[in-house]
Amino acid sequence: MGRIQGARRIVSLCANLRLEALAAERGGKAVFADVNVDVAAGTLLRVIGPNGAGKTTLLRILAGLGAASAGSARWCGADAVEYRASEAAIFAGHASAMNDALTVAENLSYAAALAGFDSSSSDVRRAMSQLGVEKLINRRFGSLSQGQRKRASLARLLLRTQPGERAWLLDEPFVALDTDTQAQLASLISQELAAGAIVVLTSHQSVTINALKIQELTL
Amino acid sequence: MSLRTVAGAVFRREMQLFARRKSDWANPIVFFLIVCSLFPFAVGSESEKLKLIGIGVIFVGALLSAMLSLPRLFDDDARDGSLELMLASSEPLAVLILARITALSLGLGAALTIAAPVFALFYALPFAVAGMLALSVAMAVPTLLLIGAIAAALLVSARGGAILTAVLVLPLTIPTLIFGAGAALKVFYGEPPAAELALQGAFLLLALALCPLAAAAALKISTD
Amino acid sequence: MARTEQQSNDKFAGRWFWRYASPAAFYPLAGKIENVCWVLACLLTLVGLYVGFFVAPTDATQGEVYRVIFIHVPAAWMAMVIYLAMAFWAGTGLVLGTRLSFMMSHALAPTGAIMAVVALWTGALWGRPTWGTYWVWDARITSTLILFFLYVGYMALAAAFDDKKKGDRASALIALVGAINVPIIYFSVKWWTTLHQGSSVRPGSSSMATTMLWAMLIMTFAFWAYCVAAAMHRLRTQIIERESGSAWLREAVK
Repeated sequence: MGRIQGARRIVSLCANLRLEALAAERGGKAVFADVNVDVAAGTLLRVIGPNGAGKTTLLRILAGLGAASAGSARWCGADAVEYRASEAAIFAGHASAMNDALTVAENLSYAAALAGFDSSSSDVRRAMSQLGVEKLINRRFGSLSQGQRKRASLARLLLRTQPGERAWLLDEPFVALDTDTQAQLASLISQELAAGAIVVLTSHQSVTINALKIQELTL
Repeated sequence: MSLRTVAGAVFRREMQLFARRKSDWANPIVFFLIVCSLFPFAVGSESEKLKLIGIGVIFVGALLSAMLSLPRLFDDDARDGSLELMLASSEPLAVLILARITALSLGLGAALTIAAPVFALFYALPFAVAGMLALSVAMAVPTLLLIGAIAAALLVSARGGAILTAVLVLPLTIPTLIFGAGAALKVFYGEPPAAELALQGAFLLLALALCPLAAAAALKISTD
Repeated sequence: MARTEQQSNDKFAGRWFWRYASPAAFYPLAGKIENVCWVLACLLTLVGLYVGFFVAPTDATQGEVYRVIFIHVPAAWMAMVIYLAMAFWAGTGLVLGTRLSFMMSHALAPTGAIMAVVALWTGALWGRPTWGTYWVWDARITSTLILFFLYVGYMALAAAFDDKKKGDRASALIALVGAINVPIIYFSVKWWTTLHQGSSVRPGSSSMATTMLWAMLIMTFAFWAYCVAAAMHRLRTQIIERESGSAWLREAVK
């Protein structure tokens, strides 16, 4: 077990994403086809396209949550489905992935455990304080305001052993965020990119993100 | 991170939820109580008559109320997005599902196991029969939850989930029903219930071996 | 490991069995099989019913009423066989990802359910004069009833998804789960009650008159032919429905 874990850790630090002739369908209808991209470490990949172009579908495939109908999505040479993509990436979709009945801390440590991190309560506290919402840590998620919920669920992204360890797959992360939080998230993304992570982002909003390498993918 | 820690986290969360949301176990018990108290109105209140139907009513009532809890296995998580955490985990999904079912079996199973013999007294059943009913229900609820998890997983995103779950699951629980109620009936007639209990145990083991795998496959199908 | 149809195609292209995995290739063949089976079903039914109703002798104990078994028994057999066939194609579809397999599964289900209903109905008609009641909770009748529930569950599940592909795979999984459960249910129910008369058609040692046996065999083949024809017909309808818009289909139905 120990040996395998060691091998996994090396893989998860390798940040490289390659899409080859990737195609997806939903309900038997093709959503997109023949997507080819090569993304290196520290790159921001903006996925652009109108509603229904398959941006979320693409992100889910990258996260290993959905299957491609043709082609491949490979993290560091390994298929996103066969090799569980959670080793390479953290997916943040429209939903918060937090249960209303549990406290923020309980939710976050559950998320961290499932993502494969040994998260102590101090890790959770650190992530929450990075977002400036440390005092919410023992509140029930269901009792938070919309803005607080957004911030608390962003803390999930920061529960990694070191910055840049996992790619971030963010589906419309700026929606329903106030300008302060938008700026905060943008700077967190920049930091993560600087640490060598890949960040894949779908967004209708034009939020400026400082990044050395930016690629765009139009669906 | 080992599989044990991850499965442990899933188990612990389910238990926390169980403790947090009292309605999760209180409602099935109340439903169970109401089902059991409806029958005397329908068949008459003579204790001889009630004795004969009591075992069956209590057993079916326990199965139905466990079945009503099935949607909560995955539906809430699918709604708030936390199901994706489990789906994307690098640990085998079947084991994580098993951890959830185990937690639900312990919580809900315990509640129903305590309720069943109490309700047996409503039906004027002797203590020995009530005790055997408790044992039978304790074995049947996990079996039903295991089989039901497959349907619950398939119907995460489908319409008409609750009633369709019943249509899919109830026919598959007939063997458990036969031998679970059968064990209590044997005690009622003063015969040894060993064979029924052994078979019920066999079904539980078979379900333990196969159902989490099928439920994992089902969840992947329905969330793809 | 489950494949997509494309992956299976890459692996098996050119093999003899793979040729007909394509709806386009199977559609005309299904039409031929359907026609042959309709003719067979009609002829065999006429012959079988004639032998069964007019040639076979009156039963010593049950009188004329026993003759319903020439329909009852083949229907009960088909209900069971079709479930296995359905589960087989469901499994094939899950493993190979072939859409024709799922269509085959869907095409079989209604016929199987009808066979279960026919078996139950004729069983009730036979039970009334023989046992004095339409319904008895005996092992085989009850198992057939449960089999009917499994068919209904399969069809309801397949219809519950807007996404056809999802419905295909979900119902295929439940068909497999059901197939594992069918023997368990059968033996459980058998244990539960052993009221029914013993199975009277056994190879080698049959207690039936030869003509009765002949009638039964002919009717069995008639039911097989009917079921294959009905399934092929439904399969062709499914292909037309699902592949509508594809070039080959416009060519084929011109």
